[in-house]
Amino acid sequence: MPRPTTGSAPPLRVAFAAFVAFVLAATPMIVAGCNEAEATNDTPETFPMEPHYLWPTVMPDEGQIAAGAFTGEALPQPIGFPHYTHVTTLNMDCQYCHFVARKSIHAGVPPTETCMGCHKYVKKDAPEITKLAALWESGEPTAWNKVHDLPDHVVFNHGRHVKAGVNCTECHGQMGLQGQPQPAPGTAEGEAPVMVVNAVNIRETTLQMGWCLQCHATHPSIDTNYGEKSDQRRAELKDCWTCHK
Amino acid sequence: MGIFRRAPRDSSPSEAAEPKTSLSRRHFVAALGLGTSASALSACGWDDNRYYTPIEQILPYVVHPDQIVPGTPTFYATTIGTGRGAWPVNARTREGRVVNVVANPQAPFARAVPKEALLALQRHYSPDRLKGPKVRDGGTWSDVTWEAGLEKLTAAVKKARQAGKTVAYLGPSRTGALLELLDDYTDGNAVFWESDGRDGEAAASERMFGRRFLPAYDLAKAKYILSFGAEFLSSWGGELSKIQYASARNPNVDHSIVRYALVSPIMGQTGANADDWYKAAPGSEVEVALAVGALVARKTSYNGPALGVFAGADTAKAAARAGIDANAIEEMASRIAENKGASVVLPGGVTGGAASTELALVCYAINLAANNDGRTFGDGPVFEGPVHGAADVGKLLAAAKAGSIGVLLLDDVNPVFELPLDASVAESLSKVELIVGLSSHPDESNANAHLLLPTSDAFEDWGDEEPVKGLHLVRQPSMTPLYDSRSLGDVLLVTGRAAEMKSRRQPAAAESEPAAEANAGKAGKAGKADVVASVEAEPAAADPSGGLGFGPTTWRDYVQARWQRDVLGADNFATRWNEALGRGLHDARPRLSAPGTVMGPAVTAPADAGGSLKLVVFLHPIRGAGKFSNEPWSQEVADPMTGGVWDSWVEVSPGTAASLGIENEALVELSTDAGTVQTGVVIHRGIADGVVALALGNGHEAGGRYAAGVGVNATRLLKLATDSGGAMVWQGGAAQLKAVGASAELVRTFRHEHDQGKHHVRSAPAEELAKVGDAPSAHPGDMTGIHHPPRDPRLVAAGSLEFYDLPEHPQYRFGMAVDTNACTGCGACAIACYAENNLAVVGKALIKKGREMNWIRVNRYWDTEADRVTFMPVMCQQCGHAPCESVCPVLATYHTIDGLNAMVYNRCVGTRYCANNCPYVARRFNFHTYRWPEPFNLQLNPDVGVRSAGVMEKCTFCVQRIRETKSAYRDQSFTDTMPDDALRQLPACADACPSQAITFGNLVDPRSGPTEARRSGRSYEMLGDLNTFPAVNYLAKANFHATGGHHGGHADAGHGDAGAHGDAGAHGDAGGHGDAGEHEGKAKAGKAKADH
Repeated sequence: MPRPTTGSAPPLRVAFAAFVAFVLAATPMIVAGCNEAEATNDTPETFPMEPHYLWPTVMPDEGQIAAGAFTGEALPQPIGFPHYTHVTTLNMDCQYCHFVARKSIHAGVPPTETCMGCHKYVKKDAPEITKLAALWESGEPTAWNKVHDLPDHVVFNHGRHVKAGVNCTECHGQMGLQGQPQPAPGTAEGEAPVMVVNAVNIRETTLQMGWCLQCHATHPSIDTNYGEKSDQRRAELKDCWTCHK
Repeated sequence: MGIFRRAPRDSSPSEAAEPKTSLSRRHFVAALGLGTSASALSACGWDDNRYYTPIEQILPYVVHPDQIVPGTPTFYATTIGTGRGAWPVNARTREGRVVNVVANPQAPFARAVPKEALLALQRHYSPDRLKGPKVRDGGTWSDVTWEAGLEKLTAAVKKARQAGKTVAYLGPSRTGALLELLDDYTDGNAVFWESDGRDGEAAASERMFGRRFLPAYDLAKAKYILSFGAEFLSSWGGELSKIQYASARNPNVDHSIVRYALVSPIMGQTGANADDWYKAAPGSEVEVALAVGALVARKTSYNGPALGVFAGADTAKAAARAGIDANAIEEMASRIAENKGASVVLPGGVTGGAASTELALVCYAINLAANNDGRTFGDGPVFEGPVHGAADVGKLLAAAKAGSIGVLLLDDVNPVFELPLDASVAESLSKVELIVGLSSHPDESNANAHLLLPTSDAFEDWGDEEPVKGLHLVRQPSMTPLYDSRSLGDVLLVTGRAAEMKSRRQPAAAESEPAAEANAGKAGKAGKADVVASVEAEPAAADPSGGLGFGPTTWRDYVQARWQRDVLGADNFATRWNEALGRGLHDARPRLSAPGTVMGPAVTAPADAGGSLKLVVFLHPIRGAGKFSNEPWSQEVADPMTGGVWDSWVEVSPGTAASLGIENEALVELSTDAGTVQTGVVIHRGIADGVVALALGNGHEAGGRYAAGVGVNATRLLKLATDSGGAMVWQGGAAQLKAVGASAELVRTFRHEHDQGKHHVRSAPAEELAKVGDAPSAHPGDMTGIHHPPRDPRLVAAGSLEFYDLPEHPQYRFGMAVDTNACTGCGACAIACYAENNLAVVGKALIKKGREMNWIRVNRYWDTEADRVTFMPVMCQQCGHAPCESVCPVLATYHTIDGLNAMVYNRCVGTRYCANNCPYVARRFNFHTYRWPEPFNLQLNPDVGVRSAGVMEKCTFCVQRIRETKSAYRDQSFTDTMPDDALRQLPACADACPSQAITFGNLVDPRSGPTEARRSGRSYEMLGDLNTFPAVNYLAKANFHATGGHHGGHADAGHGDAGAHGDAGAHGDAGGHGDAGEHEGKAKAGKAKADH
């Protein structure tokens, strides 16, 4: 599918708009509202960057289709970080690196400093660590691609979930099994394989609203923490404003 | 970009025309035609199992800063405002940027966030800020490095000093470390100018008490306030006077309610709170004050040294000139005498500034005669910093004209705009060799500079202030500078050192240092000073009592050294400094005391300038003298008295308008002997006859993109004149007014003068209320005198009151109590809401269509009988039976278990039915996707979503703060209910309110603030008869029995209103909200349904 060009609506957009318009045409009030549809005075011709409300705010194109969806598509990362080695092999706690998870709404991707705390000494010459060290030297932050990405209208408080006793794996899946080093392709038979890490991460859960609500209705921590008030808490937890902002 | 758009100039109203459509009708029909093939087309490339979201990136820190936890706010106690306008606040930062300003709970006052602090926040992110130093060559500006800029300044300073010329400074009121540094730098040639009309008070103190200061007032202890126009609830006296007034007005404190009488030709926002308004003609204040003073002195048998002031008093003459009844003067004097020691008389500020010095002298003398000295008035916690008058600015300009100024530092002050200067200013300034603009905002004065060195603002800089003697406020950076700016202190230190400047201050004897002395006593106890990380370098104060000179390396060291020397003492300094930083202040205020020396100079009242129509200029209650005019919030938030936005307007009384044949909102020409302006006219009752009022603050020519071309500049109608004390003369000039056009295209958000008999505002008799306060009443609300059935009796009789069951709230039902008696209409709540909730600023053209986005508005209702105003903040009432909820087709709005009327933005499809059904007009629709021009977007609150076009929005009671507080409280207990004190001032509006008019809490809790307020004898619900069960209840205003025998509680007030000030402009709007101020049609519709 061609990328959108300025000035003319690409077929997908037109199609979607047509669909929306078709549905809404039955509602005279909205159509009337639409006749006085406006964009801002000084908006350049970047339609639909300043869209009318009948149009989706962000229309997808190939570049924007997030991989890392639960279908198993992987999202490339700047550094091949093996969760497997750290979590499964070395048995490190998630919060050793994600150290603000307990106190913040974010889990916090660790600062380069945290990585370098060990990797100044450990596995200094591994190819992925060389990339890390280069970033550390340059002072540039590492630009990770977001795998577990919630919509901007959702407020998700990591700290509350951690403190309630929800296990990280319940939402993030078996992160500890991801990034298992594999023998590099092209290794000759009988040769000791060079282990490489695919620089990808995969989201294993949908992170869709229904999926969230399943837990909010049934998670055992609710009974544990709220005792006789757990029914009230469950009612609270399915309230829209618990998560929507 | 977007809709932070510049308001169209008056000269070209065509710019306000309908914005261009980007989805044209043609596109729409084309899309409609394609509808049938939609499913086929969408099948290509669309996979429902995929996520169609842009890939976002996470950029973690390289080195994690200690003070930041990503995703949680960090608060820095700091000080916003300079000199006498400084106030301690907390800057709320997220990931290293300031997103909001909240009240500092550790300050020794009630919570308050000054409007100025919120506007300073928006100013901090202004797209007009200078991004680096600039140098002017002829008419062109070019960028220059800081090093080159400082070198240029150093060279000029050296040259000036060698040539025997002065290095001068003109800036805003300054105190603390910067004052000392400026004094050394300029060798005493620093002039501090504030357009707040208080220069006369300092001159009067000098004459009467032998020392130049602004006296201290304690309004909290007053039972009677007589103000000669002082805007003590907006621009006069800062937050402290607002907090004190709220305490005096609170019927639950001391079982008394202060009676506030105003002598002024105009009400203004402050005067609108007055219980008695004596409409004295402009310029007559001194004579009235003299007459009152003489009577007071007689009644109290005062025989002190200040008696000489009243020598020229003549009651009959004063009454005649002021155009008031002689009995009124007698009444004022009796009330002052009755409240001997518990009254206070306030001089006039700008509004009463016909002869500020004389007026202040007489007011001081009345306070002395009424035995108020040492009780509500006097020495002690005074402002002791320099208060310069217009004469001092004049002297500076004269020196410039004479060519004796080598370098002029123009700090964050705009004399060319704020002062009535004529063309000779440009000539004077052109004689200065180097003018350095230190403000990082472009303005009319900076345009004359040769070199612009943008200095860091209050969110980026160190500093300290002393707005009241002994109250030491610390300023610390809340974020790294946004642009290439440097601290003013560093600029002075670096260039001063390079120019080999020395301290002027002589080493003082030890006994003149009270702090050092106080600490000497503790020396034995405290022991060794703790070494605290943040104090890296020991301040270089070689001489413990002498001047700091230019020794300290950095500005921070300088501030610390001053605090060590003057405030905290050397002993255990590091620890105490860190404590002060955490708290934001060090409070060592002396008690209010009687002035030591008192003299009684004779006073001559100013002569009448003649003319049948007089001009009165006043400080705009939000924009002040114009410093914050370029901040879109200051233009967007409605003017408290007229509801006007993005403009200037002339205000006249109905009587004056009728005699001149001027229609409301007509285009008029106002001229004085100094100049002429053309603008719209607003006719309202808050102006005396024979007076034409015009607010200062607008009419910038070069104030940045939002202020430029908005309104007219009132100072262009004045001539620079000074009174006997060298203070600016603001008032007294004659004016001519004539209509020149039918309509001035004014945009006002107030559509109605009064509440049209719907009892939105009610009153309770102050005398009775003072006795019982808000104690639980057997019949809540009975004190308002309105025996209006709370619910429609027919529904009650038919047993069909509730079609739906009222929702149950097991733990929380969040509610609010709004005290209309405490609300002074200042608008801080509205600005705080803009800052907290990412509200879009839409501009004049869209407000004209009724598309303003404010979630809280302050309605102004006139009393139908007396000249009285009640302000009423209105936000979403979070109804128990919400009319909006039942009509939403997609359940985007619904009732939460906490009693909030929730709005889920991404579920909203934009039918706007909810807004049509809301009787309170609390809902706002996004007709556009509004964009925040960079760097305004950095101020957006990350806890609140930014809504896009097609979505309805409204007040949420700051649900993000509720959520945050609940989460924090769950750390202690999963099941317990939050205590009342955690909630009381949680929402942004309640947090900002200096009067504590808004109380938030849990209605399920029987002891919470709003629950208790509901039991008060003056509690009522707005439109409660519509059966909406709002979670907001209002408390009636305390009204004294009016002088004319009017009784509080206007049960059956007439609804007729003079035609001259009827509904201001019809605002037809197809889809939005027809009338935001009043809801007659809707209320009727609601009733009609209920009848059925």
